Amino acid sequence: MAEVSSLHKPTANRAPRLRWDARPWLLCGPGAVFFLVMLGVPLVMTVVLSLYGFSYTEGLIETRTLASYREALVDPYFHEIFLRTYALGVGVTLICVVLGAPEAYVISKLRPPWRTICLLAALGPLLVSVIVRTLGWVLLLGNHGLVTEALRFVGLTDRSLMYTHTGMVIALVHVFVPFMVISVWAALKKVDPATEQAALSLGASKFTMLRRVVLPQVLPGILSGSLIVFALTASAFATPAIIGERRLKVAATAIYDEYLSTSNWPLGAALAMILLVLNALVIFAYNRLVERRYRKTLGEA
Amino acid sequence: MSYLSLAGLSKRYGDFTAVEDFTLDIEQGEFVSLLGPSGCGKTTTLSMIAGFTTPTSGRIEMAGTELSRVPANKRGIGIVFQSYALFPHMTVSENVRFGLDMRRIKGTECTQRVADALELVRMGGFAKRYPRELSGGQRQRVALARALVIRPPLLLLDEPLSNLDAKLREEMQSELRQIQQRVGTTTIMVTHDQSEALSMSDRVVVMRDGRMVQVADPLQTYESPIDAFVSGFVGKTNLLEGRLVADQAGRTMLHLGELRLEIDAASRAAPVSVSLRPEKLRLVPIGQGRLSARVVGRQFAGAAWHYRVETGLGELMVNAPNLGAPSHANGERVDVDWPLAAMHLLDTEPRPLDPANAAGAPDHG
Repeated sequence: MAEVSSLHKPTANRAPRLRWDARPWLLCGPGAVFFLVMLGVPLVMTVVLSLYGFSYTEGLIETRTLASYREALVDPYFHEIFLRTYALGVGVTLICVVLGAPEAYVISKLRPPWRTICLLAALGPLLVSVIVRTLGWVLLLGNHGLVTEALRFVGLTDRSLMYTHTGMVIALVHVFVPFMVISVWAALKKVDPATEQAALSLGASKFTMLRRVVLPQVLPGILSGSLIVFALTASAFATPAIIGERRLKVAATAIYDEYLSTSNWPLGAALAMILLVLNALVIFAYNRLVERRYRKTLGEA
Repeated sequence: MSYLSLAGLSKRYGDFTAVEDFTLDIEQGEFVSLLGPSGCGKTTTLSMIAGFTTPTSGRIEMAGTELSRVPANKRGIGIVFQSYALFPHMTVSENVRFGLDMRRIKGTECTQRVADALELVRMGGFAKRYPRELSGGQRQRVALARALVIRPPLLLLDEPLSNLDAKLREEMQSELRQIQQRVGTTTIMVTHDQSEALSMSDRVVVMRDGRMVQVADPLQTYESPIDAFVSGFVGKTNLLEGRLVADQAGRTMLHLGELRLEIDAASRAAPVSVSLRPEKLRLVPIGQGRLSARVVGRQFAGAAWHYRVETGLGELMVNAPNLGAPSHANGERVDVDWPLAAMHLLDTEPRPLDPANAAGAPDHG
């Protein structure tokens, strides 16, 4: 009897179910509020701030003007900074691909205890604060640092790598290569090891097997890893600030200086918005490209 | 001189012996199955032939060439993997072409051979598809085409049908066998499925704990299993404990419980196991059989009834073809009957494999 009555109940229950259901909103509410308050509000404030006027005598002027954007986009000084930022982004990304992808592959081929140990060693740097790691590089690259002394001893150079592009690239690659390793590692997990054996059995050399069978399968991982590394490098602050200092400014350190040294907040805000838009453009364009290429063959990229 | 000769092939990992002294001669065009439970060493054996695992000792000789030190990519052996291992980023025709590309076969010959191989496995219309757009059975066919397009001297199949559902598996069994016979490629298949091994092979090698237990053609494997392990692993069987006794007239009598059966065997007094296949037993009216029994369970399998009957010798499995007649009910009293020839005597002690049996030419009886 109970079963029969329960069969009829849904009809009675259906009416309230058609009403607006608050539960999904309540569930994602706290996250959405947090996101809005912590990211949305400062972003809007930055946009508003970037439209203020500024003069060295009066400071902030409450008008609405695009003067800061004009300055940021026209001044060759900022061109150089943005060019340096994106050149660093591309260079660091490429080096991370060259180092990180083979590293992930080699680690994935190790025997069980060593595989975990080496993976942890590769990802270990992430456990140390970026500042601490960069200060470590200062110790190595400084005028009397180990690397500098070694290079001097070999006779390659007598100058320290501090305040150079090379030094900055070395430190940034060290900081970001674990993200490439993780990303390629995840892609390798999806590769059927039998496909490598299949390639060998069909007569492929080890190199051909890697190039034609393994690489195409982990390419989505390499591409998403590049995206992460590029975005992180283009917006990196701590490492360029410590290794490059004022001599080699990048976008993030330039923004910092506009805010805190020059006190030209509208210009700092305008630079920040330009950096954000450029980064977003690069990332979206890249993502579109990657997704279109791989949706058909490998499923989700 | 046989085509493929495996001599004393062994693989040890530290203290663990994966394969011990695998010795087998295979004729050109022959289809041999390695059958055994998981961990019996069959896959390791296949991997050594393929060149992915280096044998600890032993020789692999194909058409007179020693192979065991030749790297996998120089052996030219066609392999179909359990997971099919199709290249997911290549279309079906690119997958099949891969081996030809490696051999620098180009142009019309390449196109023609790819088309022929796909036609052979009836996948001609799928050349432009990607593997993930294919069903399991279709991927299986493409994997076979990719392995055969290089015209390998030897084809290795690693559990090729285990990822297919039951009905498709049966279809593919006969199709795979037909293709193999048409192409004539010497083939070694690894499987844990006894029906697959029996239905497809010229010879079956039953393996256990890294060792070969029996090498025989399918019928012989099924009808004359060498020991209790083989008879239990290859098909279902009723194992009965008995004794051979020579009587005063010089006849050999098999004592099975109360039963005294005269059999044609070497006269010796010894305990024996008797293997009786369930389908060789018949349930007959009381008084017409060898053994009285009571039906204690039955299962309908469409083409047959599977009975369990309680007898003086213990519980027996009996399979009766479904001829449309009413079946025996649970609790019904019946007699069990079987032809004397249906009994297969096994040694109670496992017997080491007779080397002559393994090395000799196959008996296509």
